Amino acid sequence: MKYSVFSKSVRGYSHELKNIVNQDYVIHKKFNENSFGIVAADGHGTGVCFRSDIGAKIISKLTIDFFENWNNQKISFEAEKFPKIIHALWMHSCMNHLSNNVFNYKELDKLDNKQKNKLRKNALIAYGTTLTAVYKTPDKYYIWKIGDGDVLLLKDKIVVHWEENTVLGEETNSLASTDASCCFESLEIEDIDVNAIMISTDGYSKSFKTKNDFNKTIEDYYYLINSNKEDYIISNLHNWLYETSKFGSGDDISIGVAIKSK
Amino acid sequence: MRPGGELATRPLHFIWVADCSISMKTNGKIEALNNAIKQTLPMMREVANENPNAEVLVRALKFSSGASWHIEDATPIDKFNWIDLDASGVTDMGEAFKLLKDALKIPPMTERALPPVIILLSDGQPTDKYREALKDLFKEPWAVKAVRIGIGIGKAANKKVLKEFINQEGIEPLQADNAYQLIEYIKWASTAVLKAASSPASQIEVIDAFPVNVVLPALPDVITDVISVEDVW
Repeated sequence: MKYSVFSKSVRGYSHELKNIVNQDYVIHKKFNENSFGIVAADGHGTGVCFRSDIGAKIISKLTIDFFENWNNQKISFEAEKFPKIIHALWMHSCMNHLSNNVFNYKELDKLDNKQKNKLRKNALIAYGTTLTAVYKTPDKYYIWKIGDGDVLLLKDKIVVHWEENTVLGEETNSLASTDASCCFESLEIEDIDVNAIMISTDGYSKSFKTKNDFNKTIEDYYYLINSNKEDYIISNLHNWLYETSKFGSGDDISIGVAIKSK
Repeated sequence: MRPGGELATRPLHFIWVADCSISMKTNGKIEALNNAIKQTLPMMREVANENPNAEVLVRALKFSSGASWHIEDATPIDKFNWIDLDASGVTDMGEAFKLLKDALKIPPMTERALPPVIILLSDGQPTDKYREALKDLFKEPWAVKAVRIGIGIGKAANKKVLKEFINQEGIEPLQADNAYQLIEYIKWASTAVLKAASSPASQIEVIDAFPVNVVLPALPDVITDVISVEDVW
């Protein structure tokens, strides 16, 4: 079986207007013919989370490296321990980043006293981010998420939006909370049951008028890949996502997609 | 072809809930309310234009003897015109909460909306069993997630009731004791609060480590010493 895997992140239209950096990060890596990892992270944004773009990048890279080590059997594969380990690694890496790059006046001057107090209690808030990750072995998909990222699965011809708890509004769980490892949701699914999988940051799903309009994305990517149009996707993906943000949520959008091709 | 179906900006429902009981007629309170809302509409439009990815939809509920939609259709702010309210009857606030509950259900609301902003304005105290209706209102997830602001008009306004409606630690009802204060508070609610509520998820604030719906901006400094005693409600 052949898998096409691709990913892309674009800065949100409203971020462009306000000159705010892209706070998302997405990465994918094929380990061999049948194994790969895809990771997307959505930094919480401005205010006290002024390093959330860095937090998102750190967790994405750590996670993909972790999956690669699993795949290469450099570390023993224990799916149930993933949340605890990756959260600890992320905290450690962020603290390392902080000790090498202490908060500067430019960053702190923008904060009010209440925000500064929050940072004193938990400096990692500055790096706060969500995480959505997929690890594919030859026979299974392992999916984890913390926060409001989306996971779409194309099973046979039916699109399934994996949602454990729908939270209205802008609230989300965060890696920056001390008990983050307890907030992870996880799913295991047999490879044979899945034709395609897409993970995305919430800026993507919130750009579509209805759930069906969003669900159609994975069907369209599946159709394009199976019409031998992978190059067409790769060359247009940035523009499509930019257009989606512009006429949709205005938020940063990141997607990672894996599709079985016939 | 761009993958996916129809795109849409995110709706932000802004709802005025106004007391139109007979007491609002005294000392020009109802006129002051009408003027204040009319004055702030251009500013609301400006704020809405700053964030083209939020579709600000405005409507208004009124309550006196019973409650009804004063402006029923959720109207894009660019096309929204204020129709003056008149005052008569008692203060059936609970009836307004019942209508509000219906409006905040999913559907007609969608999950992808931005948190609604609801501004309750009252100069008195409810004459009906408002508490039951309020409890019922808070069964709707969007009612809980909404940004709820309570403005008391005049000293007779029951702040305890407004506080029950706000139902959020750290947010107190506002007290407008004259027309000037009312304008300032309405301006704040319809511009600064609207701006905070219409920012995309990645431009919001966090409490502890968790991003929250909307953090209210600082209140305006309302000057009171230029108001003569006769103007005080």
